[in-house]
Amino acid sequence: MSSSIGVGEADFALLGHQENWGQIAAIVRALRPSDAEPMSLDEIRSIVPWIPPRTVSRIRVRGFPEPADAQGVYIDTFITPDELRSAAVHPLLGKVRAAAQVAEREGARIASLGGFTSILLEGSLDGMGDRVVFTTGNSLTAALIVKGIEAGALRLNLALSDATCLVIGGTGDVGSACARWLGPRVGRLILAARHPGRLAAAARAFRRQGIDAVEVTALEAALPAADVIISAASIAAPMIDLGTTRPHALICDAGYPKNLQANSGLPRHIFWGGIGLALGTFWSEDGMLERFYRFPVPSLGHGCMLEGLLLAVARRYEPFSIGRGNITPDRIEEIWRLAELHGFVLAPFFNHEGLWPGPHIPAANDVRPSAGAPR
Amino acid sequence: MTSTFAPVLTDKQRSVYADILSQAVTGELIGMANYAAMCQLFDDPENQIDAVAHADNERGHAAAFRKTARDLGVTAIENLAAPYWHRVRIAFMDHVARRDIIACLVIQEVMLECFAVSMYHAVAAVAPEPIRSTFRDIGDEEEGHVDHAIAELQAALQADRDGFERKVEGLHDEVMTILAEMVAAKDTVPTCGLCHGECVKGALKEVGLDRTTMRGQALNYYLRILDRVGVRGERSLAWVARLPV
Repeated sequence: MSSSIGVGEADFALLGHQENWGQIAAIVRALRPSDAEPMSLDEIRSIVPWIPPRTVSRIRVRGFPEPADAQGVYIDTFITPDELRSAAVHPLLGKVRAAAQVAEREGARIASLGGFTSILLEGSLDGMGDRVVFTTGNSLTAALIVKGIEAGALRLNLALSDATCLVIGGTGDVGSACARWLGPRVGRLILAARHPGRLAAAARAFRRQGIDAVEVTALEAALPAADVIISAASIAAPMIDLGTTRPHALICDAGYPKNLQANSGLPRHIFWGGIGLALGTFWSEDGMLERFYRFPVPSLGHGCMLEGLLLAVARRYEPFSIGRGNITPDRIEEIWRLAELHGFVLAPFFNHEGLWPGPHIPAANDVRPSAGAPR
Repeated sequence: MTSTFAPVLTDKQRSVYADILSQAVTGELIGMANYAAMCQLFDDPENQIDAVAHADNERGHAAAFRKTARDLGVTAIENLAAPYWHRVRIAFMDHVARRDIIACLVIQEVMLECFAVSMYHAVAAVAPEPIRSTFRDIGDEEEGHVDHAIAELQAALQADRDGFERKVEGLHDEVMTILAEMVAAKDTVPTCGLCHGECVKGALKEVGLDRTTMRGQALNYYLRILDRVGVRGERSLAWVARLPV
C-alpha cells in the first residue's frame, strides 16, 4: 500500500454535492463519534449550509485490465437540497468556484463536476488557475445512459427501432446528448423540456435529419406514449409521477437529484442510469467515501465522477466534456471506447428497491453491435 | 444614567444588547490577559512589544464596548470567572506554562478571534448606530489579528504537517468545544455568568439575531481560516462534526 495522498498530490478531483438530506446526514453521522450526542436532522440542516467546500475523502482508482493507478480527492461543495431548490444561483456558483479552488490546492490536474457543479463550465472560469482542467463528466454519463437503454432493451426483448423514446430534459447537456445518440436508433423521439423555444429548435433539428421527433412541454400525454423513458432533468427533488406510464416500459432515471417518484410495485422496468462500474475498483483511504456514497454493489459511481477517474487513469488531462449541447454521438462512442479500455462498464441494473432480479452484470459487455446500430 | 438609544430600542432589545456587550467586554478582557501572558514567551523585544500592543488593542476594544454600554444606559457584566470564559483562560494559560507559542497563537488568534469576528459582524449587521459601528470596527480589527497569525501558522504546518494538525486537533477539542458549548442550544452550566437575567440566546431574535445563524457564521469563518492555514479539509470537517450542538 502506498503512502497517504498528500495535499498537492492529487491527479484528479471530483466535485459534487449530495442529492438529499439523508446522504448529508450519513456524512455527518459517519464523522460524529459514537459517544457524542446524536445530531437531529434539524440540527444537521442548520449547520451544513455553513460548511465551506472542502476535501472530504482521498481516493485511489485502479484501471483494468491495465493496472494504471491514479489518486485524487472528493470535494463536497456542501450545496444542500434546500439551496438547490432556491432561485439564488450566485451563492451556489460561489460554492462551486470555492470547490474548484480546493481542487487547485490539492494539485488536481483534472476535475470533474458532478450534479449542479457543472454550472461552472457554463460560465466564466475567470480567476481560476490554469493548472486544473475541468470536465462536466456528461459524456460518460450520457454514454452510460444510452448503453444502459440498449442493454435494457436487449434484456427485455424490446426493439428499439420500433420504440417511442421520451427524453425528459431533452435540451439539457445530458438529455440532448442521449437524444442525438438514440434519435437514429428509435422509432420515434419525444423531447420534453421546460424552455419551449429551445425545445422546438431541437425537435426541428432532428426532423431535418429525417428523424420522427416531436416536442412537448407537458408530460401528461407523453408518458403513456413512451416505451422508453430517459429522465435527465435538472430538478431539485423527485417530482415526476410514473403512474401513467406503460406497463413494462423501460425507464431510466438519470437525474441528480433523482427525477422520478418511486412508485413501488408498479410493473415498470426502472433503473438508475448514468451509473457505471469500475472493474479495477476505486476506494477511499479512510473508508469515508464508502460510508455515504453507497450503491447495491461496490465500485459504482455516477458517470460524471467516473469520467474524472477515467481521464486520470488514462492520463488524458483534457476538458473532454465542456459547455452545453456539445456531446455528439461520436464523442459518446469515443468516451465509451476509452471506458471499456480501462475497465469502466455499465453498472448492473438497480433502482430504489435494489438490484434487478437476474444476472447482476447484464450490462454493456453483452450488448451486440447489431442491437444498437443506427438505422 | 441617560440613554442615547431610548427612542429606537425597546427595553427588551436594550436588555439583549446588555448581555451581548457583557460577552464582548469579558471576551476582550480575556484576550487582553492572554496577549499579556504571551509576552513572557518571547525573548526578543520586538515580539514582546507586539504582544503588549495586541493586549493594549484588546483593552481598547473592551473600553469601546464599555462606552457603548454606558451610552445605551446598561451595565455590561465583566466576569473573568464566568464559567465558559474561565475554562478558556485556564486552557490558554496551560499552554503558556508549556511555553507553546503555536498553541497560544491558535487559541487566541484563530479560535477566539474567529469567534469574535463572526459574532461582532453578525451584531453589526442588525444593530442600530452607534452599536453597529463599534461592533463592525472592532470586528474588522480582530480580522487583522487572524491574518497576523496565518503566515506563522502556515510555516509551522509546512515544517511538520501531521504534528501541526494533531496539535490543532487537540486545541480544537479543548477550546472550540467550550466556545461551541457557549452557543449550543443547551448549556452545560446553570448560567454563563454574563447574562443579566434569563439566558440571552432565546431572546436574540428581539434584535434580529438568531443563535443558529451566529453559530453557523462562526463555524464557516473558523473553517475558512483553517483552510487558509492549510489544514486538510477532511480533518477540520471531522473536528467540527464532533462539536456540541
